[in-house]
Amino acid sequence: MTWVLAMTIAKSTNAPVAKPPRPKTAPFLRRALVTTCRLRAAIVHPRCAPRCVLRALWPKMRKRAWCVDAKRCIGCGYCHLACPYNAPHVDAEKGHSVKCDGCRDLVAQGKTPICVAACPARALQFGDVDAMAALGERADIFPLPPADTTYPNLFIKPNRDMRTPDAQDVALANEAEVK
Amino acid sequence: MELGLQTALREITLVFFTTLAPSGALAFVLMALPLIFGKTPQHIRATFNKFLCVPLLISMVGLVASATHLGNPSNALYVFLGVGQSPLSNEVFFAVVFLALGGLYWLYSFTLKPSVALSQLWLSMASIAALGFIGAVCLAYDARTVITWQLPTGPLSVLANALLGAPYITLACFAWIGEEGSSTKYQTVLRTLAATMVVVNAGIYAWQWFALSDLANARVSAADLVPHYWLYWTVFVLLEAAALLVSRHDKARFACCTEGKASSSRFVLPAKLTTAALLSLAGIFVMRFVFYMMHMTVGLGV
Repeated sequence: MTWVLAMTIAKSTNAPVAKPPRPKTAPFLRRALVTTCRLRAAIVHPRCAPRCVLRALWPKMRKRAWCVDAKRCIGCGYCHLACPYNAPHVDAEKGHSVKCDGCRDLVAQGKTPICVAACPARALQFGDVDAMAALGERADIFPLPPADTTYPNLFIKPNRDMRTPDAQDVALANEAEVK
Repeated sequence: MELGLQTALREITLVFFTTLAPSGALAFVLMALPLIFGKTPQHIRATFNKFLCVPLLISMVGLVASATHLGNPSNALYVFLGVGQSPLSNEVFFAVVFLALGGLYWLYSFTLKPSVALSQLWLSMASIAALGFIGAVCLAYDARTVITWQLPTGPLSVLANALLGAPYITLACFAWIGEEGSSTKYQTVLRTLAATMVVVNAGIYAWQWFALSDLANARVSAADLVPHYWLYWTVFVLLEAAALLVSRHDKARFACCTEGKASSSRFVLPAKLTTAALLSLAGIFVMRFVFYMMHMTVGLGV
């Protein structure tokens, strides 16, 4: 059995949001399946940020992305320890924490993050929170942490065949695949 | 098991830090108390002051150890931007204030005629900073997403560890100072405190195990991260029991060493108490290692 998710990533913004544009992709594509996904969610109140001794994860919030300020970060790794998504980690060569910044430079140019553009199944979308919320539910799905703990700007439309880990009506065919 | 071990080994410098620094800071306070409140003659104060560098050094070694895991220490001054907001900034802030006040006091104590009133005020401030530092270390692991560190046993164990290790360090310093070190009554209080804290620590760590057994995330259960928890617990208890045995107060030998007789036996008690301090810190180290082994977030992070 494989966990399958269709997901959208939302921009973090407090600005008034216009009516969501009609998705250009066909419905079946919006529900396309991805079998593996390394989630790098945009979090409204990231739990790693208060752990940061330097506020090195804060300054770029105005640009709608939680980023590591390499000039401030000391590479202590506490953000990595606190992150329930296992997102930031300390790059030993660079000497500071690194994490996905949601391709903020591309987004500033009006483009989508590279993962959205590259997804061959068109399973990812990027847009304002309200628009994305209309396409799925705020990520509260196995194996992600409870949404009320992290409140991620990540919305997921689960596949209709998805099951929870304790489901009794299915069997795990290939255990190695999910490890 | 492997995941827990990997985390603990990756954060081994922090294991050293949390083992040494709180115990050293509290030992500084315990050594300073007779100087602050007691009517100690000047020449004895001078001897005392020299030995205050021991707990300071222990704390400093812990702090330096924690600094070695930083990827880019040159940015460390930015730490102070988060004081009052970030628990880790508070921890570093109190550590720096404590070590600065303690270190400067130690240097001041070498002046020919140090003012007693100024010394008492200075030591009081350094002791308050030391207590603040221990409190900050206790709260530094309060991360909402790290469910295994959010247990009440997290801050309690740091405090209990400090109360366990500090009396041995203090007693060892008193033994090296000799008869003038402190009153027998105060030493008895420290021995009783250490013995009590062995039981308290063992109780806290037993409680921690039962609290861990209910915790799991999508990847692993907390109990799986530390599969041999009771083995670690037993090693801790054995090391602390050994420390207690080694530090047994032998009046005859103590009298021998304090009479200043030029014999090797005068080093027996200081050596025994130093060994007891090392054994106790080793026991604390084992359980601090376990603390990092059991790191587990509410989500995918282990």
